[in-house]
Amino acid sequence: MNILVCVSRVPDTAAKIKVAGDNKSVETAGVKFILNPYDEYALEEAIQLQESKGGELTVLTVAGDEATDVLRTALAMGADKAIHVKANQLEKDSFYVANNIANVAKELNPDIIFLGKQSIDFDSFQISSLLGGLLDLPSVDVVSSINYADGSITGEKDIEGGKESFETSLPAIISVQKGIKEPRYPKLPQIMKAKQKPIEVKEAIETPLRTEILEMTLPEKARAGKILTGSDADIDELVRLLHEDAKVI
Amino acid sequence: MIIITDDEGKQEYQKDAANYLGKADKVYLPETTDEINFIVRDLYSNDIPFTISAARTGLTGGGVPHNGVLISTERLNRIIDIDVENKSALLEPGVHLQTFHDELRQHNLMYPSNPTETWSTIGGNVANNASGAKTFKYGATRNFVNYLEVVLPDGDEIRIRRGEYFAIGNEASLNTLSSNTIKFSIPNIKVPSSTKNAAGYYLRPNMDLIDIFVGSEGTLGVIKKIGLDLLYQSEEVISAIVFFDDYNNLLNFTEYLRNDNPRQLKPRLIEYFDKNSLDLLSKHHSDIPQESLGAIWVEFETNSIMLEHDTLSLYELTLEYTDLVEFTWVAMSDKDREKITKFRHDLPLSVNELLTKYNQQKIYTDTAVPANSFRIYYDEMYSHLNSMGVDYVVFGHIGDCHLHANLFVKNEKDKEKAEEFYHYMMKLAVELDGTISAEHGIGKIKRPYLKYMFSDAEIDGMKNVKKAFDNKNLLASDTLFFDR
Repeated sequence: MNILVCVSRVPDTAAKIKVAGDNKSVETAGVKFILNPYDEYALEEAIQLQESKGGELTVLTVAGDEATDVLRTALAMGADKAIHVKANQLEKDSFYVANNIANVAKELNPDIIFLGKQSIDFDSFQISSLLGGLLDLPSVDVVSSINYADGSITGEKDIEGGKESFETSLPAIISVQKGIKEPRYPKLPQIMKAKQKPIEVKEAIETPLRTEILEMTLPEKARAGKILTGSDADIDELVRLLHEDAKVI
Repeated sequence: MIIITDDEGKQEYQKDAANYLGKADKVYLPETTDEINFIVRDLYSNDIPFTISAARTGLTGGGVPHNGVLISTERLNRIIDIDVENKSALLEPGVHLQTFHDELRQHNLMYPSNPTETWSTIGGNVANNASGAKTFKYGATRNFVNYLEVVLPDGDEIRIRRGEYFAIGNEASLNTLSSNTIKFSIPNIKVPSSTKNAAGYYLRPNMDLIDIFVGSEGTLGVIKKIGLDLLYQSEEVISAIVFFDDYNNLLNFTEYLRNDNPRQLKPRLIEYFDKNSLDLLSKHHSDIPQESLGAIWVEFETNSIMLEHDTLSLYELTLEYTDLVEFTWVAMSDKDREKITKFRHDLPLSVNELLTKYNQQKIYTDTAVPANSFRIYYDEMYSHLNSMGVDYVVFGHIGDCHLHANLFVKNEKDKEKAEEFYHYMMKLAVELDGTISAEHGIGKIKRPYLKYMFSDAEIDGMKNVKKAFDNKNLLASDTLFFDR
């Protein structure tokens, strides 16, 4: 089975995000970047599939020069080879990324394409559906478990308030939910081997963007709570706050 | 200030993480540091005994009162200042360690004192001279304390900066804010050769007098403000869990890393997991190899230029010492490293869960010995553990030759054997020029064993120091010593 896993390079979950001077992008200076956590789950699912069914596991990213590090991490976790679609333009929207993935996928003809349900930087949630449209393949989102059969798969996906069972023919595009399989630690010999594994570089197809970021701002800080005790004075204060601050009475 | 007097409210303040139970008549929660002086002055003039605590994560009962008032510094939790340029911070005592670590990370700084319990507070850490995994490279909390404001048992105060006041030979004197002078003699006490020690006061001729407060377990004063030295974050860190199918290889690997070595690998931490620890953790971690008899967690600080070279050196070293190289976990991101840290943290938590299940008090060792006697200590420990027929796990800070053997006693007979083992290990550690308590302190629980390590004259010398600060014996009067 040939497997393609699409990964993204995102700011570390612990990074303190600042908006850059242009008010349209994130300040990257001093920010650590990591392999998108949801993509790690996709990669683990793919590695275990490959371990049981064989085939080749390719990992792909559409990004600037800096993304080599996350490809090396993916190779150290167990991918056989990597494709780095070099995006020259700084601004990329979901369509741009999906179009470039689709372009490579048409050449590779994978039996299954995995990706995380979203990347934790822009959370646009669109790539898997866009890929389905561009490649004319079934696309299932937020998948939390998969059973593999010949030429088809069944499984479960998370929906609001519950689970939905699905069945689809292959090839298909699967975006995975957190926890589908616990990602492994890269093993020391794999890290050493990963340095020898090939990273194929392809030039991106530069398509016009279909969305434009007009402005970026940090979310407003949640207001700090106030703790009042049960004294008479505090009860008066509570009434005043509910009336004047919260304006609910 | 908040005063708690009802039984239900006081309940959580009357025990610590070791389930040591005590009793407080009242609990005071000061909300400004200056309230401490006011409270303490009042207690002193009314001859009311008092004890200090914060997060109550201690394991020896030091923060649990037997009577009188408990002052909890939990609400004094402001990080007053982080001076990035001078790599220094000023804090109130109730700041949680994790909060501080998180804040420092935003400034690319770090504070290397990292006890496994990150819910502990900086005040508690200073009072106990806390240590952790990174103590292997950086030493314990003491090395980073550069300034203290301490409210004395009578409400007076000492402000002391490192490098300011030294003992002259064995004579020490400190001036208070009210221009009183506290004079005491520094007794000559035996100092163990282990790299860590948390038993008794830190006492040395010609010592910097700030050090008397660090590790004094809340018996000399109430810590009000703390100045700490900081370090820059390392650019890159290699964190790995190496599995072994042979104990001898594991010990040789550890010894190689503990000493200067031709590969110039200098770890910041070396931590040990024995087979039983791995079995306990394997319930939640499927990629622990079954044939593994033990594991070492090791971390190296490096930079982007040396990262590849150091990774290769570690790889070559593991190839030399273990047949289970292919299973070696490596964290390649901060997130993975936190996962490994959590793997280690999960261990004492799992132990505590099991103890709760058996409804048993924790019986565990906190002993450490110097590196040259570690093999004797290690072999003796296992020969006893394996002949006892009591379930156990051993893990801990093998870099500092400091292991925690935890025993699971299910009945009275087990308990008897476990206690016998516990006493034997303390006596053995002292015999090997080590310590009965490397990091958790004496508190109340370990008071009977101070005499394993110190003579009556040495203990009396320490008591005299206490008297110089607290002539009414009101502060933490049941911690460290019995009668005074």
